[in-house]
Amino acid sequence: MIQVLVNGVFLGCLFAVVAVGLTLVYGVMEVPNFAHAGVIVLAAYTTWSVSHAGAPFVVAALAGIACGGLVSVLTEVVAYRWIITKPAAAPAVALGLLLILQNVALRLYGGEGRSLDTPYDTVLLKAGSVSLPGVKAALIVLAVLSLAALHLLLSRTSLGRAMRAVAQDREAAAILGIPMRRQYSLAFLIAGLLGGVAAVAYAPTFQVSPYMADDVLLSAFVVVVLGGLGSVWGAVAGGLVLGVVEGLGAAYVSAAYQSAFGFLILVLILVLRPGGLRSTNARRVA
Amino acid sequence: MRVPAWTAAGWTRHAATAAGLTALSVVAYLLLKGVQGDRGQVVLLVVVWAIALTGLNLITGLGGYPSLAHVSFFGGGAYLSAYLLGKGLPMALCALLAVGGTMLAGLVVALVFSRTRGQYFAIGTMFFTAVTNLVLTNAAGVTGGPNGRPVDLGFSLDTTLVLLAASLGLSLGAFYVLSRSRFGDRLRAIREDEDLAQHVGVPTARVKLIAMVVSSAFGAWAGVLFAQYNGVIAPSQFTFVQGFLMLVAIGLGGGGRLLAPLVGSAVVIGFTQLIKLGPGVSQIVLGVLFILVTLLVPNGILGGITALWRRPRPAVPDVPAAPARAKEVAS
Repeated sequence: MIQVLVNGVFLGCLFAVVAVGLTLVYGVMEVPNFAHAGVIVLAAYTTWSVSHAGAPFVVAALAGIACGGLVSVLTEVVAYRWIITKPAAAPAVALGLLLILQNVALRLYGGEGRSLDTPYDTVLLKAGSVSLPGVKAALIVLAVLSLAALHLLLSRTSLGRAMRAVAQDREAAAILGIPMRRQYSLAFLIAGLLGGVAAVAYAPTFQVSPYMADDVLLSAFVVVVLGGLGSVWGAVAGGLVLGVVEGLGAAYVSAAYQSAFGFLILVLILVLRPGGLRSTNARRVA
Repeated sequence: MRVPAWTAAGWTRHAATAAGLTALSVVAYLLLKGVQGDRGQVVLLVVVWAIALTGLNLITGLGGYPSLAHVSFFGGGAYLSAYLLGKGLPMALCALLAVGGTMLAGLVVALVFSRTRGQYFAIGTMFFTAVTNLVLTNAAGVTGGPNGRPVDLGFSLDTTLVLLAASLGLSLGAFYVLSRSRFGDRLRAIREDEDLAQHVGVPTARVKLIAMVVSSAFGAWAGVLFAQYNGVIAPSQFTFVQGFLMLVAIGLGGGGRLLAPLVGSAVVIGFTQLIKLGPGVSQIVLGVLFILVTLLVPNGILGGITALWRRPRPAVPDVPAAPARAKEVAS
């Protein structure tokens, strides 16, 4: 039972890191960023190829995270920036970007899965009957660290304050002289870096392939809906809830249908609580 | 441009459309019959997709709601008919049950998601397709698992071809009628401004629900015919990427326009099947094309052509200013 819960927490941390990136972007720009899965895939492949070329894992991981941030900002500059006035086109553009990014990965690295080796592959933490592989522990640590860093950024710096202002009311923020374009890019940069963290932490537990992030992305969207689009702490709480639910479902019902439990939650939420678990002002970031 | 239905001019236009669609069906039949091999497969896919996408054109084109669940209805029709046929039921009954069963599934999906707005709708329908694919892959006893299953021959090949060609014209005709009905107007109202539509008394959730159930019927019927022609079906034919490419086709063709499904599927299938650019590249090109069209020509290829066509013409006769200007030119 505790083992199942620990696995659930692992999943939850993964979902939270991805979902916070989605919710941040949604908060400032109202874009459902389906392309985030493509960012994660490219970051994971970058990490794999740098580490495959012989560089130490830390360098490879940093390269992957940087690549995530770069690609994410690129999507904003090249595509999303041009549809700020047309939110109805956002899902279409996001899906188009996803198609491009995934197939770039397919083109560059081929379709077969690659395994990413880490220095902590063989580590196995044990406490009584509960065991936690090193790669999963690393993901939990990385997730907590990066979310704490994000919290500090949003609550303690002027950049973070500006971002919260943009998320609360775009027009008012623009009138107050906040440089909007920089805020958009910054939101995508943070989301991309978090996507990179997710990729580096998640890829070793699975494998690197062009479609590795699809399920995670869907679950992350459920998390975002759970917490209310645009709420960071809602995303963290929702991530943990969904992770535990999917972990329990996989353990006690059927592992093959793991992500279907997320769908079940999504349907229940939309039917019972259309506004999300915590009723948020949907535009809020922190 | 709306044509009043009960005037002589309106009827002339309706008759012309009917004649055009009949001609289209005949051409489709000749192509399906005459073109062999790989190219025959391309023709088949274009026709099948056009039938399926006519349904998507209702909810996505007229209603402005990007449904990613459509490929699930397509697959639902294919798998249900194959399963029932395997149980020994007559083909006509199988087709009927497959379409009916898929519409029932569409109703359940629509009951949940017709109440949601924009982004939530896209997320929810995308997830529905992912789960459907999960079921198709994992419920191996019924669906044959990841490698798919064979489909028994229910219709003779020639019957299938006739049905395909006839369905193309008939479904486009059905769309023509629906888009000119009050239902079509309500969907357009939702696309333009959902809040306003609700305020002036459009039951938005119910209209979206009906649109989704009707669209699932088109998808399922196309799936039945596809399974019959293809002889084998597999989960990889009904993935979320396919569902997204369907959306791309509507967007490229020009959402809400009568021939958008045909033009869109010709472009998408042409890119993915005819032009061999190596793995992934054709989809990258489609992605770029889709984004460019979304940003630059929001009305799609057909909308862009119409705009170009209309530009050099003088003002429309029934605009009051037109006769005065004509006099100035004459004097």
